[in-house]
Amino acid sequence: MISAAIPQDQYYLFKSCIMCSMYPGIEKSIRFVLDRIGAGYTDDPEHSSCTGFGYHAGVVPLRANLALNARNFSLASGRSIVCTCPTSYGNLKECKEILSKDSDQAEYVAGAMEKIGRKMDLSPSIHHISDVFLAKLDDITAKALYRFDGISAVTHHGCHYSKIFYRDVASGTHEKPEVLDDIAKALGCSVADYGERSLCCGMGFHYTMLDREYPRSILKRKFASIQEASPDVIITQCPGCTFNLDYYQETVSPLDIPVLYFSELVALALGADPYDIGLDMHAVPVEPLLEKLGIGGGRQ
Amino acid sequence: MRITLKEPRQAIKDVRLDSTSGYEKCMQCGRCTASCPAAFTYDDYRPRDIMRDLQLGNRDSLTSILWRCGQCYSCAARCPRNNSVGAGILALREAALASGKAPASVKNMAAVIRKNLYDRGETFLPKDLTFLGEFGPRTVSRCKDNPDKRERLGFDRDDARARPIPEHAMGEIRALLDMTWPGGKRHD
Repeated sequence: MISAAIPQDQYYLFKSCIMCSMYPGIEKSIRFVLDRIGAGYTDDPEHSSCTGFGYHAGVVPLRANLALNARNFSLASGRSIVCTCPTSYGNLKECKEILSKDSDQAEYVAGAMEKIGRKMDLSPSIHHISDVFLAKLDDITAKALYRFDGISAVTHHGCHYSKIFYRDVASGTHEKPEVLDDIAKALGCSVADYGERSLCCGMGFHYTMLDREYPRSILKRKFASIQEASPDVIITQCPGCTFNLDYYQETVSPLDIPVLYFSELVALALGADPYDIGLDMHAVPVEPLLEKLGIGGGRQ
Repeated sequence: MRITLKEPRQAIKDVRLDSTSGYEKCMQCGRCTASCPAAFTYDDYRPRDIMRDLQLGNRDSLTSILWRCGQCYSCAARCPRNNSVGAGILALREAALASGKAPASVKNMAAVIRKNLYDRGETFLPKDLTFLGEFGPRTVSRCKDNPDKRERLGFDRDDARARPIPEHAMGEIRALLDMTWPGGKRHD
C-alpha cells in the first residue's frame, strides 16, 4: 500500500503560503499529529515560498523558481522535505528534476547560489505530508481517541499531487489516488465514490485573483457529482482545493457539506480541540459534523 | 502540406518546451483535450490545438489563449506519450510576459506576487483575499473575523506564517530575486 521510500522521521516541514494565509489551523493540525505520534520534524522559519502559486499562474520565471528552491534544498540539508501543499510537492520535484538533468540551468543556478554563499545540494527527497500520514497509519490509529464509524466521506486529491509526477502516487493510481481514502477508512469512515472524482477544483492559480468564473464553472460540475454521493464530509489534500470547495459552496451550490483537510480529521481523531486547529475559520460550518463525530463544537 | 516541426526564428529556448511538453511527439489523439476543464469551459481553448500550433511554429497565434489553462495537468496525466501541454503553456506564458504581450491584469498580478516575494518571501498573503464578499453572506459572516482568529492561533496577522522569515534569510531571497527575475532589481 505504501512505498518503503517514505522516510520515518526527521522531516523538514515545508510551509505553504495558501495554507497559512487561508487556513493556518491546518498547519497546526499537522504539527499536532506529528507531535502526538512522536515523529521528529524541523520547523525552519528561513525557507521561502516554493513560489508554486506564482509559477503556475505564469508570473514567476522558471529561473527564479529554480534558484529560490535550490536555496530551500540547501536549507533542508539532506533531510526529507515534507510538503504541506501538493503544489509545493509537484514544484519542488520539478525543480529538482530540472536541476538534475539540465546542465545549463544547473550551472546558472549554482552560480547564483554561490553569490549568496550557498552550495547547490539536490540530496533532499521530497514527499507530501499525506504520504507520511499514510506511512504512519498504525501509529495514528494506535493513538486515536475517537473512531468515525458511520461517517460517510468523499475525497478530493490535489492535481499537483497526482497528475504531474503521476507515477509516484503512494496509494491507488493517478486516475484513482487512494491516499486520503486509506487514511479516512483507517479512522472508521466509509468513502463513497463519485463520477467527477478526478475533476480539478478549478483553482487555476491566476484565476484565483483574476477571473473567478472559471472555478465557478468547474465547481458546478464537481458539486453536482458530490451531491449524488451525499457525504457527511469532503476530505481534501490541498489547501487550494480546500479553499475552493469550502468558500464557493454557498454561492455555487449550497450543499452545506463541511470540507476538512485530511490532517484536520486525523487531529480530531487524536483529540485536538476543534477551536485550537481553527475549524471555526472554515466557510461551511463544521459544527454539525463535529456533533456527528461525537466531538462537539469546541470552545467558541 | 509540408509540416515543419521547428521554426528557428520563433524558437523559445526553454526546457519546458524542448523536453517536458513533448509537443514534437504529439500524435493528436486528443486525450488531453477530452480531460481538460478549461477546454470544457472555453470554446476557443483546446490543448490538442496548442500542441499542433507548436509543431507548426504558430506560437504567436497562441498569445491570446495562453491564460485559459488552469494548470491542473490532467493533460499530462492522460497523455499516452508523456507530454505535458501544461508545462509548455508555462514556457509560453513566461515568454509572453517578458515580451510585454501578457494582459494588463496578469502584469499587475506579476507585480503583486513579486512584491510579496520581495517583502515577505511568500507568493500569496492573507491580504490578497480581497474578494471575500463574493462568497455569500453566510461565508462573510463566518470568515470576516479570520484575521483575528489567525492571531489567536499564533500566526502573524499580515504574514502567511507564524514566524516571518528572518531578515538575514530575506537578504538571500532578495539577492536571488534580483539575479533571476527579468528586469533586475525591484525599484518600487
